[in-house]
Amino acid sequence: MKKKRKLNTVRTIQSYLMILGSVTGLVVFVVIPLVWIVRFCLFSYKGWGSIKLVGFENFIRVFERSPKYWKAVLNTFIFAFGKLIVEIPLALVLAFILASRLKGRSFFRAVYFMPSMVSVAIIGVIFRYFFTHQGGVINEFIKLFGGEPVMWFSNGTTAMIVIMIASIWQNFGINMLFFMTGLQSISPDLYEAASIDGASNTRQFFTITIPLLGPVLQMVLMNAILGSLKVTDLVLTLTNGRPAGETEVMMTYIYKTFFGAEGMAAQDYGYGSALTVVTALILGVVTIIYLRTTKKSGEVYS
Amino acid sequence: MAEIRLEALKKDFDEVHALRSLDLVIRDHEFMVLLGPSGCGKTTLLRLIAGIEKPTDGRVCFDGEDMNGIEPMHRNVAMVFQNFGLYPHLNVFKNIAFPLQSLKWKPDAIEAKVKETAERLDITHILNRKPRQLSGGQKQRTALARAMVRDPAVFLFDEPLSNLDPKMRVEIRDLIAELHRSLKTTFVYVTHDQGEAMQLADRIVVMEEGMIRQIGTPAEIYNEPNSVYVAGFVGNPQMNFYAARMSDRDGECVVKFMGTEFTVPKSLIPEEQYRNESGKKIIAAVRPEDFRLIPDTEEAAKYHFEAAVRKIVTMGAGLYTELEAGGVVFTAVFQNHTEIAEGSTVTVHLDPSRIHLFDSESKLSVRTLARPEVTSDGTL
Repeated sequence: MKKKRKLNTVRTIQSYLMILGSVTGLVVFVVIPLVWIVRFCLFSYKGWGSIKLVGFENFIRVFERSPKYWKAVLNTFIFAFGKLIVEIPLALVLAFILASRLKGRSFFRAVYFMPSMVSVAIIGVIFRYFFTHQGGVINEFIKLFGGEPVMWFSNGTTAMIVIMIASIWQNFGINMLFFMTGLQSISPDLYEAASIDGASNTRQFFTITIPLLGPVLQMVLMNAILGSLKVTDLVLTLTNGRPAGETEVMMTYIYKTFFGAEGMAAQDYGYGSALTVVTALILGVVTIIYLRTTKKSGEVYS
Repeated sequence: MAEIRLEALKKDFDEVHALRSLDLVIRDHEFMVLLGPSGCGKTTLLRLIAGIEKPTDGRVCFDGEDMNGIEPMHRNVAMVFQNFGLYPHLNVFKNIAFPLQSLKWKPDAIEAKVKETAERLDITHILNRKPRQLSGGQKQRTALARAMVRDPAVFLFDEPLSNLDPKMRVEIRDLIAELHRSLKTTFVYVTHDQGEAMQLADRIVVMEEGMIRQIGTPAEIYNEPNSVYVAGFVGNPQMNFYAARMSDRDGECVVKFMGTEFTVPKSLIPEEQYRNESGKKIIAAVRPEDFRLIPDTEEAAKYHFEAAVRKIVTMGAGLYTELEAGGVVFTAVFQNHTEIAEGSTVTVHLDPSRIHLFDSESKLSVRTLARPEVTSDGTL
């Protein structure tokens, strides 16, 4: 009996030692920064000079005197949902095509997946060159067909469209792979049964493929929504919020508040921390709403 | 209601010949069972009839109408799958309603029809359940209901009992037989289980390697197998096969095996098969239940021979025994409660008219050798 208890103690210590590494990482890189940020919300600190306790002043500033931030929030949502409308159906359709017995499908799969492996900063640079007003590839093509070159980055709408295209190009490949895995898990018998039961290909797609892809679709959408709401580096390298904050997004705005940037109010850790907390709450609310509304589609098999 | 006619039907999967030019007529209202081991092409044949697969060559006709190029949905067939093929995200009601929705029936008509069908198959109490909450038998009942609901001209079954436990198997088998009686439609049923085939079929098609070996009623297949293959495939326990020697003695055919000479009736072997063929090798076969145990009290008579009992297995209704006579080991089935002991010697009788004879080269029945080939109708 005693021996057994001793063995159990040894096992417990062993288990804790094993998770010690990851717990340390979690504390150092997640918990401490979180506490640090939340604490800073109540202070004013410009990066130099004294740290002053200001109470809820930073939050009042976020909600009452931050039109630029709320503009960035709006831009973020326009970007996220605008690109999802294109990206998800595109990935799904391509997955559907590539899941069939198409010749050379592994080639296409690799090609479509490639952008997902490229660094985001490099994608920004590539698309910058593509859409540059003078000598950009796209404008050269437009000229070739006798059109007027477009000043893509001088207009908020077109600049936003370029960011969306770059983001779609970067992400559709991996989503397509997720969908392909999901499609492979659907038994071919069901399509045979459905075709005998008189369902056309379209009806099969909507009554069998989509519902049975539910769990995958839910996961992919969640990933894509959160990923787009957190978009940062692509915007920094492509437009950096120009023109005049028309393409500013939540994360770039916070980044600039923290570290200072031209055209911004002075660097402010306290205000930046408050922005971070508010943004985290927004993301949390979106996630909860999403999970609530899609609860059913995740339960197809369970 | 439909007569299915298959003409020179061929199906290749790349290099593999799944079906090699096959002709078959399945009559209207008939219960036709396609029987064979896995890989013999029986499921491929069923899928060609359904239209899920396209033939490499040849035609599938329903009531004389060529079905090539006609999609499964327009063929008015229904299929029941081995693994049920139910839509996992839909409840039983919606599964059964699915074909009717494809036909764009009105919702209240669908509801009435589904309820009626469910009642008939005794599944009204599970209409709200999802397939994962059902037992195997309930799943197959649901699949049957989904097949029945739009009154198809042809029912296709792809080994519908193989995923069920033995008790459920009997229940669903009887249900299928009952449905065939009441629906009066053409049933095509694929199985590798010869017992199932015998119990259900009006006629059986025995297949091997993409070809038809024999077509006939269960009795014909069992009593007059046209080849060693069919004889060995049908029947449990398996038929006994012997290398025998045949001789022509005064115009009678005498076959010797198990140390005994049997004069076989002329109905079993046409004269031209054995005349002047004295000493020729032949395959003799006997069903295990055709041996008769002779009580010690009975006097010795013709075709009685001694056999040593090597092994006895009680299989419920019968005793499966392994006997040895004339240096040959064979299986015999006797009635249960027969007084017999392992290691003893018994006297056994075999009626020569129960012997099946096959050519040792072509492995075909000597009876069919003299006759023309099997026609598409299965008539000999």
